[in-house]
Amino acid sequence: MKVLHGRKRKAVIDYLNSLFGIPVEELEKYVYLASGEKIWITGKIEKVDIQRLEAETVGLGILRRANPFKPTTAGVQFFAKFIKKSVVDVNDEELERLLKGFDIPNRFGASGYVVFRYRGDIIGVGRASVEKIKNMIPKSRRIPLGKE
Amino acid sequence: MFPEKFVERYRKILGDETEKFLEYMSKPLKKSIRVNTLKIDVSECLRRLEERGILLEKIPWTESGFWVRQKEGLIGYTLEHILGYIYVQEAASMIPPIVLAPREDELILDMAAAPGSKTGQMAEMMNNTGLILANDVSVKRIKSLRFNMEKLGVINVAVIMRDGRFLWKKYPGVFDRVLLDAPCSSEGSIRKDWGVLNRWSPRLVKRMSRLQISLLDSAVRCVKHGGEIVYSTCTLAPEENEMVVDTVLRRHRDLRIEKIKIPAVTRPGLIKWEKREFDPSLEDTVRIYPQDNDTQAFFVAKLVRE
Repeated sequence: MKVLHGRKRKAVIDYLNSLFGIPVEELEKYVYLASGEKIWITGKIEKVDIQRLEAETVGLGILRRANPFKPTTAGVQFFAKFIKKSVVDVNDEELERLLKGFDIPNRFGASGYVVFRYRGDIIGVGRASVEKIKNMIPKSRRIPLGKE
Repeated sequence: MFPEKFVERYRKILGDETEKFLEYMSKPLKKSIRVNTLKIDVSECLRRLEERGILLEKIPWTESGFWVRQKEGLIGYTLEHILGYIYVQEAASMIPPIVLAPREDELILDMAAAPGSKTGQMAEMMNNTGLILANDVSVKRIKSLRFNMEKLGVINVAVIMRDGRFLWKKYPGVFDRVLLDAPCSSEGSIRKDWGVLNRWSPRLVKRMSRLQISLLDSAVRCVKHGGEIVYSTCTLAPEENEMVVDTVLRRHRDLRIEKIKIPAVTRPGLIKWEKREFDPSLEDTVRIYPQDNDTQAFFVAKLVRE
């Protein structure tokens, strides 16, 4: 895994700041790494050189490498309390649809990547087109709430 | 129901109490959860679960662990579970990280980490700081470890996939603390998986014991001087517990056992099993019997490398 410095680090921070409004000073607290198809986040560690650990992964995968970056559900949940922009507040019915794996209609006029929020909880990520918001919540995190 | 040799072994340790032990080993486990304080406050989470009609009872040895008084299965469908605010974890399995007590900014090795229940618990205790190097040998198990860390929002875990017996060659004297929750014959898990009994045999116990000795020896070499190691298993077989610790203790003169104090009903480790006598300090290790706290069985030892 490679620690991102300079321009590459700035690109990650600027993206998360402009898309979700996460303050730059919050984003600056962390180390960002690139490996495989993801950008990973971890804390600043003084006791060890993380690149020398030869680890398979370090930290939490927050973005998929694409143009533009594709945010992950784990990533937006990590920054949950700092997310101010690109948020759609879903209702009970929409929440149930999302957790069952369906897309939802774009009644919000949203565009691009958005975060689904339900009564203050960050549920996951979607991608809005004119008519619908595509559900990007991983399959492994979808459980029918009807069983609740 | 229980193999004759299995019962015979426990009769040697427990005498008249064996029937009670077997009765508890036959009962299904009580469901328990840990609140993930990386994502939510304990009080806020309890309020939300209570609103859903879920009754909880505090586990005495942890601030964030609770037994669930509710029909089986339902808690897994709550939004709190889906969002990683709670994690289903057996109550006794929360004890080894509590005994290890990792601190913020430390460097920790979790030698046999998957599926990551204890790794996540330690990440929470460290408030997502420092680093836990989480190792496992199985690709499938590593996958579940990664999934769980992601769901819990853990950023201070690095995952490696190596044979734990040789980790000391790569990381000699590096870590502040090491958790070795060793692979074992899993006698303690009979309450959640009856299949364990079909796989159980004295031969398996011996085979696991050899592996555990190599793993603990490696764990000792990985920890720095002044560092601590917790060795735990979910079995009560002395060959996999006291005998493993005793063997490694004899190999390393700079190693000593530290007494464990936790607010749970525990019994001292054995200092004799069949013909072998162990170091008297083995009495400071703990055996957790299912009939004492109505949990899974566990063995825990804390070692300090001087």
